Amino acid sequence: MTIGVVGERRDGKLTRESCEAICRAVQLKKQLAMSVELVLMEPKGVFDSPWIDRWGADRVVVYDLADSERWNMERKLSILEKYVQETKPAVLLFAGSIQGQEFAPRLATRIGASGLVDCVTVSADSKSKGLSVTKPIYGGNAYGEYCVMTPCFLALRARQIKLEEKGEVAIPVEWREAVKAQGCDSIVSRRLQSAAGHDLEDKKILFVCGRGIGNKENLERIKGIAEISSAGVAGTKKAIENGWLPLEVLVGQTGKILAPELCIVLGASGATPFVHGIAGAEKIIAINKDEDARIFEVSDLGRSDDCEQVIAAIERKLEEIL
Amino acid sequence: MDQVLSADWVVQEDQTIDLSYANRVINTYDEQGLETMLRLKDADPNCSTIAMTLGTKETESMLTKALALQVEKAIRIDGETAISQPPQAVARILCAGIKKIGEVDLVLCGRQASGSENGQTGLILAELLGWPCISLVTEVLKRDDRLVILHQVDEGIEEVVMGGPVVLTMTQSADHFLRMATLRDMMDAKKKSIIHWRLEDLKELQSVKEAAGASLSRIFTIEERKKCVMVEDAEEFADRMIEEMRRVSKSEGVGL
Amino acid sequence: MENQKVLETFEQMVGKEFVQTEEAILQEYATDITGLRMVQKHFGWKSENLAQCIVKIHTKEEAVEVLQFLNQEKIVSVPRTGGSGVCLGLETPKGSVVLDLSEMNEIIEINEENLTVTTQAGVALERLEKVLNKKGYTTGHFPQSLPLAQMGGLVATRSIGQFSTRYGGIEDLLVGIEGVLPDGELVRIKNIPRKSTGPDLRHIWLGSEGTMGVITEVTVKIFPMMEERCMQAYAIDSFHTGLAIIREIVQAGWKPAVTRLHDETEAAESYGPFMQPGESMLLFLSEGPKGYATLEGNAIQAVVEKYGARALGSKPLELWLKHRNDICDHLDMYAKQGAVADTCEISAMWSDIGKIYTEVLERAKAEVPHLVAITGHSSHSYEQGTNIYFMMGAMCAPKVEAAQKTYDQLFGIIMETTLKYNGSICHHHGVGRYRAKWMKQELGSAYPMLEKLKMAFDPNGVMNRGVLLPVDEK
Repeated sequence: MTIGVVGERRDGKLTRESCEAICRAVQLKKQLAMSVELVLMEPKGVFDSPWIDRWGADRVVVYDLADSERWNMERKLSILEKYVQETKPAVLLFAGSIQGQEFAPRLATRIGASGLVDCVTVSADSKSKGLSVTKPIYGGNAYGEYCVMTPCFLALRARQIKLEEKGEVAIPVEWREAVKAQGCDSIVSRRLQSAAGHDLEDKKILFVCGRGIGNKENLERIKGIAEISSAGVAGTKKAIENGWLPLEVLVGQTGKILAPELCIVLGASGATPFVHGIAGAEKIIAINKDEDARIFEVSDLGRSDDCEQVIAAIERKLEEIL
Repeated sequence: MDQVLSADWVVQEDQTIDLSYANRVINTYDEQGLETMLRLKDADPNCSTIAMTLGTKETESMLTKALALQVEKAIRIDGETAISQPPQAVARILCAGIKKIGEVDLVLCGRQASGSENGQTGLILAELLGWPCISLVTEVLKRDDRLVILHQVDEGIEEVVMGGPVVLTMTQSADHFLRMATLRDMMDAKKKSIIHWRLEDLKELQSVKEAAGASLSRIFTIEERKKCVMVEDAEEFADRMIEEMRRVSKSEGVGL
Repeated sequence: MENQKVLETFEQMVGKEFVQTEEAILQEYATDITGLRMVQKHFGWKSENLAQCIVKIHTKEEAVEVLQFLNQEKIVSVPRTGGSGVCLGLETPKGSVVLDLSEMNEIIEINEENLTVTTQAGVALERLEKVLNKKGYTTGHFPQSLPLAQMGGLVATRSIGQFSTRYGGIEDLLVGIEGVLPDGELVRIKNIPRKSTGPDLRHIWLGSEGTMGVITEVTVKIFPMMEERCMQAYAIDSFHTGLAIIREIVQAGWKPAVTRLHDETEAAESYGPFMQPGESMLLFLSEGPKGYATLEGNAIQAVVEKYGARALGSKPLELWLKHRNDICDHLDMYAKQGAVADTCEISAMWSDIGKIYTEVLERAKAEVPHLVAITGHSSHSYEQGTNIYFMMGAMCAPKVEAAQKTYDQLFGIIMETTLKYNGSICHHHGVGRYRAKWMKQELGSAYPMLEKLKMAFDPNGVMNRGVLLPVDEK
């Protein structure tokens, strides 16, 4: 019996969310006594055999999909449908990406399996012989625990599991033909209009700006500081609503879930849906005028001060150093 | 959810959280859907607009608001909704409702409900209708006979040009907000009738397959507080922050 | 004197980095947070009357020097601290000079024996409250602008806080004050609990809105933080009955710190699940020394029950306490939704206030096209009367002129109706530039007193020209 993991590759390697999904599958592997199969859709020849796996997967199944079809969601869904019909996995995990969150419920409905999105923990439930899955509810102020029977398709939330390398192992790769071009007739064109924020996940240092930074000028100053340290810059819902930053860099429950090594939060009060977006950060430094702000309940280091004052102090220090 | 005091996130014995004192407002994503629909109608008055919900009588105030905003028809399918209800069941009922309406080319839903936040209903609905689906939509325009749709994808924002029919799930927008209804329109809307359907009225339900869902077994909260070190001195804080930045960026071999 | 020479003079007085002339900054300082401008900015409004510069003042000596020079050269100045005015009191006349005292922000002395605190004008109230709270004290002054406002502006606009029914408005809290007169003279009124040494000169500063000089230092009362609070909310079937209830409570001698009556629209909007249709919401919060809160709370309960009000417990108060200043976070929300919205507070004697409320609502609903909402609440009560804080909004075309027209119409209805029933056109926001045009009607035969004061203090008419007293276009 198989646990499938629908993974994604970007810039020539597996995305972090895909690796997290494999790690989750490997946890389940022991509990369910099943094997773990990574499922990809890539143009033929884009990587060589053998596949070097570091997370504990047993084999890779790749469907030949031309690069021009990368964004053809309808086609990709049909391919996955075919995969499920061929392999009948008991559990299919999807990486914690926008694509994964869309595919899991749609595919589950097509197949007649159960589906859940934004899953935080997944484990075998010996009582029901199914799985026990938890996910956030009520804006992240609470969690729901669900009992799901197999076959089930689960889209994971990103950054909920620590990546554990298991050493490099060469595993077999099987290339399969994708279904005949079955997309959607009514789609005339698709093109990427803007590509902001797609590399935020890789940044080790992240600056998150909330409404408290005050104005766009301060944002530019923060961007300047971020650039010096190769850090990323993201924003809370309020910062995006003010038009300071684009939607693509929204951090929070319904935006990006990031887990940098160092997260510096300026002028955000720490509302629960936002905090969920940075909860996985190793170290959080927060600056907020209000010393009772909830952000200080989740930070390691804090300062109650006007953001502009802190920005000015940092700029001064950096000038001295550089 | 913002209205609820943080001390009140307590799970009661019957596995519910009492949020009864928080005002009922239209979910922000559904607001996006409404505003998008109204803008499409502004651009093309030939568009007919319908607002539909599954809920009990309390939800009618939201439909009245939609009518006040000049949505032509409002339909309430009578039914209880709880966070324990699987989205598969909700989508099935909505699908039957849409089939009953008949000529529908575009369906807009919020990306997730407040509360259960399953994020599935719209997507499942598309599958049940057999229509394509575009998720996390921020803007929709009509150009000739086509829809120009902007939506979030992993790489950024994608523009999709397509014909109908299609289901769109809406996410927040930085600059589109639901317009306000005038008092007069609200008063007029209160006189308009909302169409009521019961599940028994939905013959179409039979043709929509029932799907398995997950069942909610319990709700719980997690109390996680870190010990935050608050720094009193501005200079010291700046020093410590830069020290941290150096420490981390050094491991990456960059800049600082 | 030409602009360049003026700038150089200021640079010599305060330092080059504290004289700002970049257009972006001048636009930022061109106005305050008046609702009308927030909406119009969204529709593309930009000031055509920029100041010539912003001068940041850090000491009273600088203030003296600068004001002397401005008076000499007859240049209009606009004193400014927190920038949270809502009546265009800070809108810059073309070529004026903004005197920004927001960085003159030292807390000078907390005196626990006398229960006073002395601060420079640029101290933010929020910061002052935090500092005092740590020592177990409070200013007792909680205007909705608390996250933004500073002491100089709070005194200059005769501001009032949400707990005023117990603590009073700023006029009851000001003990001593220092400021610079338009001709550069530094004057100080010493701290005294009460005196009979001629007219109370503090009242020339209180409400001066920058027209009589610049405030540099204030001393206000502080209070020990009260140990006990009693909070109770009630639903009542009519707004007018609610007013009668409040009148009975305050006239009996009680002073609940928070005494609020929200009409049915506001009650439904904020407390929907608690209300039955048509009900208004009464909120009472009592605090005081040991035993006081309960005593007052029981007395309030007895009165409201007499009128058949429905008890709702303390939850509505908890919600109100948490969210009362949230509006500061999204002042431009309505503009984004295509409406021009603002608030307008007036006051009147008990015998007139109910009529004002009713007629304003009637007229607005009848006369203003595309009205979205008109609501009112009473939030500051006295033995002789109370205020009504109206909130109003109407859809308008996304144009600066359309917003102005609709705004003027809504505001005009409130002003006319208030004056018709002998009420006062402004309870606590200040007159600013916007309401100056009604001041002659407002003060009636007393208007010459204000005129003479202005002439005496500012004969050259350079301090915040256009505020408080209308400028006659001759």
